[in-house]
Amino acid sequence: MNVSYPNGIQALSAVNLKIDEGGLWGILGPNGSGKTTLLKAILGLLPHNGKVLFRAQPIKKSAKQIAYVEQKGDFDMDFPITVFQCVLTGTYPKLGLFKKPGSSEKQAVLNALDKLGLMQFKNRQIGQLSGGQFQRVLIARMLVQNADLIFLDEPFIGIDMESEALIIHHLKQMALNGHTIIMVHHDLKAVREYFDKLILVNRTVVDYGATEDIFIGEKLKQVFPYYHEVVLA
Amino acid sequence: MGQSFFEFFRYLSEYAFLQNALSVSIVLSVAYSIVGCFIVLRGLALMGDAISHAVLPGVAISYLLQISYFVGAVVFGLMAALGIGFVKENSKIKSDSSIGIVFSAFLALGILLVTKIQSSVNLNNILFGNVLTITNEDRILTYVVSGIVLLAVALFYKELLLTTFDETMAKASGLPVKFINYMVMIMLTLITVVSLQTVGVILVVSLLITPAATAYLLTNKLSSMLWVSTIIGVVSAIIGLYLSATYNLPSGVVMVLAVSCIFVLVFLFNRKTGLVWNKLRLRI
Repeated sequence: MNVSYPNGIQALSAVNLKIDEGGLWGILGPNGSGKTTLLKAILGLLPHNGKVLFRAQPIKKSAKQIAYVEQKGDFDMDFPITVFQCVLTGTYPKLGLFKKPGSSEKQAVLNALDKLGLMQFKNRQIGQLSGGQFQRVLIARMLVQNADLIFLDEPFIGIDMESEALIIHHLKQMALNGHTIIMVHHDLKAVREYFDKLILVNRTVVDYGATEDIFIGEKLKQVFPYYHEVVLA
Repeated sequence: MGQSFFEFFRYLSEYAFLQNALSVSIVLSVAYSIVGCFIVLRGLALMGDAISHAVLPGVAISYLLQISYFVGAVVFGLMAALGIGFVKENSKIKSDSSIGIVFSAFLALGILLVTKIQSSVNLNNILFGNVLTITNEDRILTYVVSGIVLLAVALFYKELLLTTFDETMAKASGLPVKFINYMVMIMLTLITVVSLQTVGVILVVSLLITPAATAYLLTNKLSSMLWVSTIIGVVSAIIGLYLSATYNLPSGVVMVLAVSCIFVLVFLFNRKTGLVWNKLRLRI
């Protein structure tokens, strides 16, 4: 796959990637290396040359089996929507046209809110939440979506440690249950603890595989030439 | 005032033209208040303004061809919406500039055509509207178009909500985002065109945006915003029509002033975000 911006700059080139189903994958790379671009291109949100297949079919055909949690900074926090309704939107893709969410969908929302410790906020407008609480709302929505393939873009930026611990707990649980989770991540210190597998990105996919094979000096040096020694020390 | 309000109801029971004007105003205000919520939340207020001005050449050409003004206005409204999107997507120009370029070109063409065919087009009615003189044909058209638009919102409510709140998620999970976006533009154009009779080209954007923006200040849920916007739209339409009929004032202008007054009151005095309450809270 190749991805170019409208101004002609090549964002990603010669990307060739095969991801086995199941597990928690981390996408690592320096700022501007194309991590978010890679996610968006895989999801078909950016034009690109090449093919993206999921279970041997073009990925667009399985869109209902895909969840994408974008960066929380991309949301309009003044939008008139409560926590409950926001999480309920996670049920919409699988409902189909003209169908309204029923009691089973609403119960799934309540379960997800309970898991993420959000029950007391369910009637709050989203703008009245802290950054960590809103990120938990987005994860609750992702749980409700119950997708097979899940993408997250830097979910831990600007959130408290408790929220981060709670979120990673649920992501690991989902990965154990067979979901494939691919997450852009920036904090190299937690990599070994969080991820089963890694994808190193620097304007292309530099390498990918099991964390113990990828998170080593010679591989990291290709994407973090100055930082890797400090991290691995 | 009390007596004239009583008289208004007496006239209402006596004169069919007043009953028609009231029913058209109420039906239309429900439709534009609801569509307006999506326009405000999607940041398309300027687009509404652009479409309302851009329909003018369509109205003039319809008069020339002796067909319903509705057809020409809808065609030119949609052409403007597509033209704005085309300029934005195929150049570095940002959306506010592309809106400015396209709508002023359409408006200029409209004024030129209207001036040339002055004898058959009442420019004053197109620019400012007059619901008291609405024809039976236009009244039925208003009911049908408003009904279609409200039905579309009811059928696609959850898709409208998700594509407005989080278009990226909607796209990634396979919702028909393009279809919904086009539907919003078509609803905006249809409501703008049928509102021309009531309020005219110049002021129609106020009725689309102000009830919704006022409701936006008062509510935390989209469903509540739709209800509150509708109530504000209907109340200001009734107040506008009452003042217009009682004191012989232009109906659209009075409706716009009524809804603008409601906005100012809410902006200043609502308990949650009102400017006055915020100042008082800071003092305490």
